[in-house]
Amino acid sequence: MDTHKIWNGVKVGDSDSFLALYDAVYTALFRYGLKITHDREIVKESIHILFCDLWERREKLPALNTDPRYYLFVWLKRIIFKQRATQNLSLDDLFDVPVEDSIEAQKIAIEETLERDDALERAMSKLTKKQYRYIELKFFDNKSYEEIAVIENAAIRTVYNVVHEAIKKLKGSLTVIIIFILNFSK
Amino acid sequence: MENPTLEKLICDESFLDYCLKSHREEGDYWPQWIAANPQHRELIKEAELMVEFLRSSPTKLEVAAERNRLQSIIDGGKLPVKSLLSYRWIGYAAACLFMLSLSIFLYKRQQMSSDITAQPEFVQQSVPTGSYMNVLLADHTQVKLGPKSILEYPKQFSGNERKVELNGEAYFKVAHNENKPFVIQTGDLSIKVLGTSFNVHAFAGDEVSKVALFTGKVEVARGAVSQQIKPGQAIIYDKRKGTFTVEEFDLVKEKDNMDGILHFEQASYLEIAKQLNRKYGLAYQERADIQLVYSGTIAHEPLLQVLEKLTLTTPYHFSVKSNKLIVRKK
Repeated sequence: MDTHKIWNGVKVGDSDSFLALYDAVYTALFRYGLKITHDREIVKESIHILFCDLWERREKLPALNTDPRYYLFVWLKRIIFKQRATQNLSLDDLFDVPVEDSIEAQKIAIEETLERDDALERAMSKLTKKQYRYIELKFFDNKSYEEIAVIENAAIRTVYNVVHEAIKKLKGSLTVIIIFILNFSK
Repeated sequence: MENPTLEKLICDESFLDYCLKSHREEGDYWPQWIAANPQHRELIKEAELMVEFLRSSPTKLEVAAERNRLQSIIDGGKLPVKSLLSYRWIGYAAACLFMLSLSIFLYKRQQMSSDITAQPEFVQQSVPTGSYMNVLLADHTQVKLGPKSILEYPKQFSGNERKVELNGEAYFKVAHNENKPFVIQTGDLSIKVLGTSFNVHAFAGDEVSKVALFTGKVEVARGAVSQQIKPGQAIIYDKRKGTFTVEEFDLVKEKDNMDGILHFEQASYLEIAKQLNRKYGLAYQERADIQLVYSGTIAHEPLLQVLEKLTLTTPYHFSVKSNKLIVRKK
């Protein structure tokens, strides 16, 4: 994906480029947002605001030499902070107030997210459709085995086994990056 | 856990809860296990990180919904700055968790409205004393049901509303869908929501309802009378008088309440007894002769400690006998 080309498309008001950018960076932005706040709703809303702002100001966007994702990540972070400052109402966030990092630390956090994002995408793409769906239900949606069993009309034991198999597969692909992160970041 | 492996840990629901820190009450097992098994420390770290990885993705449904929302905005052509700003304000409001808490003291349980009973496949979920249960509805709305609470919901939502019935207390995180409002029926009150999340306390046998809104927008209606509240406000509904009053509320206390920490302010004997009944399963008698006012907090403490605390701060002696609350004048 050539994000620069897409970025320039957005600058001239091409809505296809705009949505292509959205599709290309959404998951990474989401994961980065979750590092700042644990509240998925705030993250989703902040990304929405980010893209509304982006579209509104498309003609005034800077020409970028770096990966546009860095630009968007920093922007997203500002939106999340601002939202919290003006609103300061989310319950989850009452108990974990974020601290503004140095630019260097921010850059590292962004790089780490991008790396992790790639690794996860690669690992998840190796799962079967069924495994992917169960992992989605179990971890993205935070459902219990019982709930998944009801939704998928399967035995709880089966659900557990499928998830177990999927984790085993993911472990193979993710161990390297997990060990890397554990050893080389704070 | 014997012979732990990465996948065994990650597939273990209590370990997941430990990672998410969502079940503070039963949270002792894993900290103790980890302390007792230092040889597995690396493995635990890996498992925790992996869980964090796995938890950090948006679902396809979420991405699709968000994309549609954005697309409808850019398809609207050039939005004038003014309308975008006002739009954004709504966005901010909806963004944050919105929490609504409602205590209904109903004299008797109301029947479900007829259009709910018309739904063929209905699920009833009830929670025993002292515990919480996570329920997922078909539209991906998350519900954390509190002790002694009953939630009735259709297996699939049909029609132009998402309607559920609650008797008890619950935390709702409603999946966003503007075209299909989410409605919670509690006795004769209905709470209408367009998205995000809130708390509801609505027990049969209670007299007053309270709805505390953290962020977002909510409308509480009883028949033709309805009242909207703003974030940071609570609405009190008096069932006997049929009146609504609006007041400010304490965010931290509302949060604690959903974690099972009870804050009392000038509470009567009956209020305390009811809460002890929900939290500890104690039977109690309604006694008009007990005149006391208690202000204080009951966290995750053993029952005996709680009774001792009540005894020290009130003119009554609290004790327990064969699971019954015994109160006598000092």
